[in-house]
Order: sequence, then C-alpha cells, then structure tokens
Amino acid sequence: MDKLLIVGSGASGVHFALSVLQKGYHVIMADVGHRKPATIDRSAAFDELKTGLDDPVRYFLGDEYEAVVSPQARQEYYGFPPNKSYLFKQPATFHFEGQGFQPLFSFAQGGLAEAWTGGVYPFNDAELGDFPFDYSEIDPYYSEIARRIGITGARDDLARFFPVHDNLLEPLELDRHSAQLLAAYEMKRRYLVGKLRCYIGRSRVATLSVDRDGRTACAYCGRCLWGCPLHSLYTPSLTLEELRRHPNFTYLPDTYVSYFTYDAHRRILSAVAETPGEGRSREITADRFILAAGTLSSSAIYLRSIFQGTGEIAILRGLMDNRQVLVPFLNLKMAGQTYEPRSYQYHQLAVGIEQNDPRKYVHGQITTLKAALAHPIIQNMPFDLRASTAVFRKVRAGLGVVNVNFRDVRRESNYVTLKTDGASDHPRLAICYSPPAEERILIKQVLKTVKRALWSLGCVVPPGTIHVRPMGASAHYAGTVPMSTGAGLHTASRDCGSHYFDNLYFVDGTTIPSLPAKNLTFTLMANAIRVADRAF
Amino acid sequence: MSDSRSAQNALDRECSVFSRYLIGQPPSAYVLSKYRDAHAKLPYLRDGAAAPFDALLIRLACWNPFLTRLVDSHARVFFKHSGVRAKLVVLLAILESCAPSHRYFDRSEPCGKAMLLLITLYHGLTFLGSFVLATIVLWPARFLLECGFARLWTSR
Repeated sequence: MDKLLIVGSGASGVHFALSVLQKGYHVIMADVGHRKPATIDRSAAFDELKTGLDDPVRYFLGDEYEAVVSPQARQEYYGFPPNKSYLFKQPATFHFEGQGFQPLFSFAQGGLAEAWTGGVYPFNDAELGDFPFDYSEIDPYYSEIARRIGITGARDDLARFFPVHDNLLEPLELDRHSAQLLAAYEMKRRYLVGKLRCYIGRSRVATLSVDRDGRTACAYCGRCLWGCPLHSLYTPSLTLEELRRHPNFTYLPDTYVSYFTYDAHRRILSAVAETPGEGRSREITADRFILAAGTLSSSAIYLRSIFQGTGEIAILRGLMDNRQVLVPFLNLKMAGQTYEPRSYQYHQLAVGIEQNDPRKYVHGQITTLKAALAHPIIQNMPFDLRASTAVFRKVRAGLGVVNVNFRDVRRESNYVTLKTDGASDHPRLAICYSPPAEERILIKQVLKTVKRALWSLGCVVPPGTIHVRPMGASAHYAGTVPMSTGAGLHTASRDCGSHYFDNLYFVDGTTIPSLPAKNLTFTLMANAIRVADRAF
Repeated sequence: MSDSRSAQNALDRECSVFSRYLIGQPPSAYVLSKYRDAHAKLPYLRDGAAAPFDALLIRLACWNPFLTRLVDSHARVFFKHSGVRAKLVVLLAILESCAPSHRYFDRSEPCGKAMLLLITLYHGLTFLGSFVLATIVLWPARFLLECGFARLWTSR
C-alpha cells in the first residue's frame, strides 16, 4: 500500500486520514500541532468557575487580560477565551499580508474547527451547482460524518434548505429564550414564510444529545465558548486522538511543512519541513501527498512549491469567504426574566431566508445570550456604565444575536499569491480581497427582512448595534484551486487531485468551487472522505 | 512613601471608587490586586491619560462615585475611547469574572414589564441628567485646557 503524507490535522485532514487508514494505507500526518491546555474542573458549570477557581480572572480574562474587550477594540460582542489563544500561535517563519482581508490561521492540533460553534449544514443540489458532482454523490458521506461526530437536529421547516441525511440525533434541549422564539415563529409562521420568505427551525449542531463512543451528552454547563469540558461538542482533536491509536498512523507534531520538492514530471518527491523555532529543514517522503492545512495555508504550500521549483510566483484566483453581519436583538417578552447560565451556549435556532435564485439563499444562526462575559455588551449600551449594568441585568434574558451569513462566489479580483523581499527564504503569503459591488445593497435588503422578522417575533434591534464583520472573520475560506471538470493549470479534478502536480490532493476548502451562505466545515469533512473513497 | 507604593495606593483608591460606582460595592482584595495587575500589563491603561483632558477626566472620576458618574456619562457620548472608559471597562470585566462581585451581574430578581420600563426610564433619565450636568462643567474645562492651561494643570 502507498504511504500517504497528510499536511494538517484540521477537520477534513483527520477524517480523510481515518478513511484511508480503514483502507489499509500507511499515513503520516505532518502538523505544527500546538496543543490545547488541560481542561480544568470538568464537572463545574460556567458560574461555578467564578466561585471555585483560585484565580478566576486569569481563567476568564487571561494572564495579559487579552479577553477584555476594551472600548478601543472594534465592535465585537465577545472576547476570545484565553485558553484558546494557542489556536492562533504562528511559526516565526510564517508571514502574511492581507489587503481587504483579515485572515485567521491556526497551526493547532485540530485547526480552526477547535474554535467552531458546531454548525453543520449540508449543501443542497442548488448549492452544489458549481461542483462536479451532485447531492446524491455526497449524501452517504454526510451521513458517515454524522455517524462519526454526532449531529443533532430536527426535520423541520429548514429541511427545505438542509437535506436530511442519516444518523441525525435528537436535538438538544432548547433554552427558554430559544423555545419562546420558536413558539413565536409558529404563531407568526404565515406572515414570516408567506411575506418575508423567512424560515426558522432547529440548528444542526455537532453536539451530542446522548452519550456515545466514549463521549458524554451535553450537560448544559454553559462552557461551550471556553471549550466543552465533556467533549460533547465535537472538535477534530478528538478524531486525532483516535488516529494516534492506529498502528498504521504516524503523527509528526512540531512539523511545519514549507513546500514540496518534485521531479521534471511534477511528481512530488518530498515535503520540506522545519521544526518551528529551530530553523533546520528536513525532508519527509511519501508516495502521495494530501494538503489539508486549510485553504490559505495549503495555498501557501502549493505556491511556495512552484516558487522553489521554478522561481515563478503564481497567482491563485477565486478566494472566497462568507460575509457575516451580527444583528443583536432584545426580545421584549423575555426581558425582565432571570437568565439561565446553565444552557447550551451556542446557537440552537437557525434562520433561512429564501431568495428567487436558490443559490443565493441567506443563512443565519440565532444565538440567545446565556453564559458569557457581559462587559463587551454593557459598554455598547446607550447609557453610562452604571446605568447600562443595571439595565443589562434586567434585560439579559432577552438578549440575542442573529449571525447572518452571505454566500460568496469565485471572482478574479480576489486572490492569493506570494511576495518576496529578495533576501528572505520565506516569501510572504499575500491575500487580496474586495467584496462585490452589489454587496452593500444586498446586505441592506436582507437586514431589512431580518429586522422585520425579529419585530414580528416581538424583538427589537437596538439602533447602531449592527456589526458588519470584516472579510476573513468567518474563517470559511475556499476556492483557490477549484475542482472542475476542465483541466486548468491551477485547478483540481473532481476527486480533488491537483492538475499541476501529479500526486497531490487537496481535501480542505481549497477546491470548493462556490461558497453557499452555510458553514462549510461539514461539507469539507464529507468531501474529504468522498475523496478518500473514490481516489484511494 | 516610595513612588511605587504611592502609585499603588492611588490605583487602590481609584478601583475602590470605580467599583462603588459600577456595582455599589467595595472591591475585594483580589479585585484590587487584579486591577493593579491589569495596569501593569495593559499599555492602554498606562498610557490612557496622556492627553491633558483625559488626565483631567481620570482625576475627577476617582474623586467619588458621583463624579465618576458625571465623567462616565460625558465620556460615553464624547470620549468613548478615553482612558477613563478603558479603566472602567477593565474593572467591569474583573468584577464580573470573580466572586462575590459576579453575583451582581449574574443574579437579578425577575420583574414585570411595567417595572422594567420604570427601571429603564429611571436609569435613562439619571444618565441624561448626569450627561447634561457633566457637559456644562466639562466643556468649559476642556476649552480652558485646550487654550493653554494644560501645563498649569499637569504641573499640579
């Protein structure tokens, strides 16, 4: 059997690895692999940590108070937990610059999905229109991923947008606020669906509602953002642990792959890697090479390989990302009630806004405010901090946010390439992105619908609180080497084999040819095992 | 008294006034130590009072909770990114993260819609009053500082 080298341990890499190991391949996984800190006090709920820890401020705000959202910061509604800062640590030799794009990179075990909110939404036939296959081909792989990671959801109004695959678990218990919103939707359904074409239903999330495979069902402890202490919320590092127990699997942590060497026929011979901080290079050989480092990092390795082999600086066009707009709201029916810190913290409801062209579907996730740090919200309220704090305590149970996602398509003006300083051995990754001209109008139209929908549910959007997040913030990057039925130089086959290199495959977002408004991680995992099944 | 001890005392006093302003409770020893630690580690807290008017706001605000409210009301509208707001927000973050002060944020008696409306109205009007009063007092002070009294103020 061939020896395979997989670069990266993110969501798609680990599931690809699991599938090819089951087929008998020998797998090496090269990964920088920053590790997460040990989980503290698994049994404590969010509120108990504040009283039970010796140094709770250090846990919640960090050694350097990095989780404090200062008034100088951009308008974000939460600070990133200090115990997840390891996710964004970068090797010293990795450099990038972004124009119109603020990318997130992760070199951690499990990659960016270690910080995801678990949204798993299959693409439907319309959304797969630019893909070289249809839903029927990927459906069994969605079901297989659902079996592996555990997905909860319901067959409700949103099924018209999310196909129902197998292995769906019973949904999680709704928090009081989400239940109230869903009940209000049922009352106003005729108006919302008939007039606004706005559908609300249960989120599909990769969080267990029942115990299985050694993982525990969600205990509603409110610690999702700080890292689920029970592993009920799936993260790829769980699969990595499983892989490491397999006899044919070799994990190479502290390995930063810079580029590939290849022969005259563009057959890759080895990956050139270094140990971060040490600077010495070493070569790792294999028969076939699989890039699963995430769209931007995989693109960087691909570009550096071409540069090292030919001196050419290639340009990969078509970079995509979902624009996200945060719409905070106050549910007047819930205001004045007590809030529930012991709840599932992430979104439990989703909203689908139908468009005439089904490919232009707009997707939103409704997160009601439960356990969270309050100071980022309090400081944005329209009073002094004392009054804001006092009012916040009373309205907390009625606060929430809709995270509205917009689709993206490949456009020539958005690309990744390299920039060299001449002397440096490590060219910088340069990312250039500009949104489509009509985006502003589209956002305005959609927000009008969202506000009307919220109003009909008894919610108001406080003026001046809507936040258009910068491009790059969603971390749903895709499209730089798209799979295609053609054979363009920097494209991939329908099985995600590179058309430039003979024995290179991509199993991350690099090959996704169009990006629907939904979170793409589920599709990346399903596509990775589709590639493993068809091409290996 | 050494400079560092005097700076520490000033921060403790500031924290105490701000805590009483924000949640109506004095800070615990733990909160005081964290407030000092945050000032040692966050450059924007150390450098926050670089501008003369910002320095004036902080000096006034740490006098007593009533003046803190006046300054904060004014800063909420005109100087959202000021040093005094940054200090208050950091303290807010510390207070909500630890016991016993977190209870003020996390536990609140339920109330009916009419009571909620009254509470909001009360706080809104109090804010408005503070803001008007603060503006009457602080705009001339700002004008004077910008007209060259900065050196006089900072030399005190």
